[in-house]
Amino acid sequence: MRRRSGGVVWLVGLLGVLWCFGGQVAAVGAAGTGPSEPCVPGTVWEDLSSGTKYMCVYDEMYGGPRWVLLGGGQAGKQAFLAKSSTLGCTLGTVGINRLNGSGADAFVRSYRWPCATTDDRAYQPAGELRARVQVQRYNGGWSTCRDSGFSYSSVTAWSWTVGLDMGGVADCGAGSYRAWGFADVFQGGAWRGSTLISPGLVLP
Amino acid sequence: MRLGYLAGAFVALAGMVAALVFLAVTAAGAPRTVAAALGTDGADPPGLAVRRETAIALLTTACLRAAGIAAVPVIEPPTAIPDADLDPVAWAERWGFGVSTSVATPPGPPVVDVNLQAADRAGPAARRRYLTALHGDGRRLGCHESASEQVLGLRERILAPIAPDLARLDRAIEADPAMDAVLAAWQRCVAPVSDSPRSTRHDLGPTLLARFADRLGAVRASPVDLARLQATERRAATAVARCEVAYAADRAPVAATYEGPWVDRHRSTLERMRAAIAAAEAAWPTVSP
Repeated sequence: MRRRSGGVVWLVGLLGVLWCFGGQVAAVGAAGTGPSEPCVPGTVWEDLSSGTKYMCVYDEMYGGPRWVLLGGGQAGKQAFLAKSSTLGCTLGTVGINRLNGSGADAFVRSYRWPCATTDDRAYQPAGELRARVQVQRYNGGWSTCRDSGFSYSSVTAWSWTVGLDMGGVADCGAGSYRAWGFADVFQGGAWRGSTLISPGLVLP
Repeated sequence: MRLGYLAGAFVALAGMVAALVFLAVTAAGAPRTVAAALGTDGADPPGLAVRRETAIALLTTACLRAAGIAAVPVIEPPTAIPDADLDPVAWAERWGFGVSTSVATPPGPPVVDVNLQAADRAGPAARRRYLTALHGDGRRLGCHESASEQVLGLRERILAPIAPDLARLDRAIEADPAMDAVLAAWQRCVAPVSDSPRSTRHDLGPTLLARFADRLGAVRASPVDLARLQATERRAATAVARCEVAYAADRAPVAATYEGPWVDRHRSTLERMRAAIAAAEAAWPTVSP
């Protein structure tokens, strides 16, 4: 197994795009006034007549908790709930940078609320970002063919990458392959994140 | 005399037939692919992922304690993959490539790391010492990397002596003239979603990823547009997944003409390596029930 930290970022911006998307959903709500109820971070308030929902988050820039409107789509709501936190909305996510016959990379990036642009990137101390990539093969069932294991940031960083060079796959065999990326940021005493991007991997 | 000669010939002939039948039966049951010979064909055995994570945690902890650092095992849950057991086509039908469909995917449960918590509380010097022991200092591997390599790098380490041969086997299969037709069929299959009649197996994945990432950026906050994009991505991914299944099926008979004889030549080596992998896995530390 050949592990590689750093490496060429093939899809620079994919993660940013995902985050911008989440940010846009959130930004809609930022303009709303919100309910008059006391705001306790993490709670959701729903206007039963319209179905409009707000969630209370702790906003570092605002300097305290505030209500934000949740997006209309169920998916958007889940994203926002998952990626907001009283810890400052700093979470990592993952993507696959490089994807071809020779392997795959996964990366993690850390953003601070509102997670909309690169200005919101949040630097983490050494050892508090980690990424991992696995390649699996299907032949009547999935088996892990390669696994980078978690690679931890060795310096203060807001982004970290791990790569896996496949070489040949004769030892894993013919079949359909897929790659998984995993990423976490250490926050509040625990590793959080592990969003995924899993494109089908075209091998060999 | 003549009768004795005939009887002897009969016995010899019967022996030869029996030997041939035995060889045929044995060959029919013998693995004909490298993966099958190594015992890695099909799905991972149940519990293997948990055993790997447990072994990494226990080996890491033992290493840290040997370095004079108080640590407890932090056993990671196996990596969380949605609908992990679905076959490639069914997974693509539900999740596409995982680009636009991964928007809003809830994160996995947080994994509490009491060791890092304690290091954070202990002050900068203790934290540095802990991280150096855990992740190394640039000159030598840390406890985590060492344990991770020991467990996750097991198969590659044991197969290292035959890695060049395996690479040559891969190249020989790909260089077979029959693979031109296999590749052409794959290109025709993916053409409707690849925008190029000459897509290569190296560039199709990145191209499709970039396309859906770009479109996702343009969708912005409209749930209707997102749903439409996700449907498009699922259709494209399903088409590609079906092409991959067809490609694997078309490639198999070409590969078999190389891989079968290769496995026959290296059977004893592969069996030895299979046993070595099994023995090493059995020796991984485990948590007492």
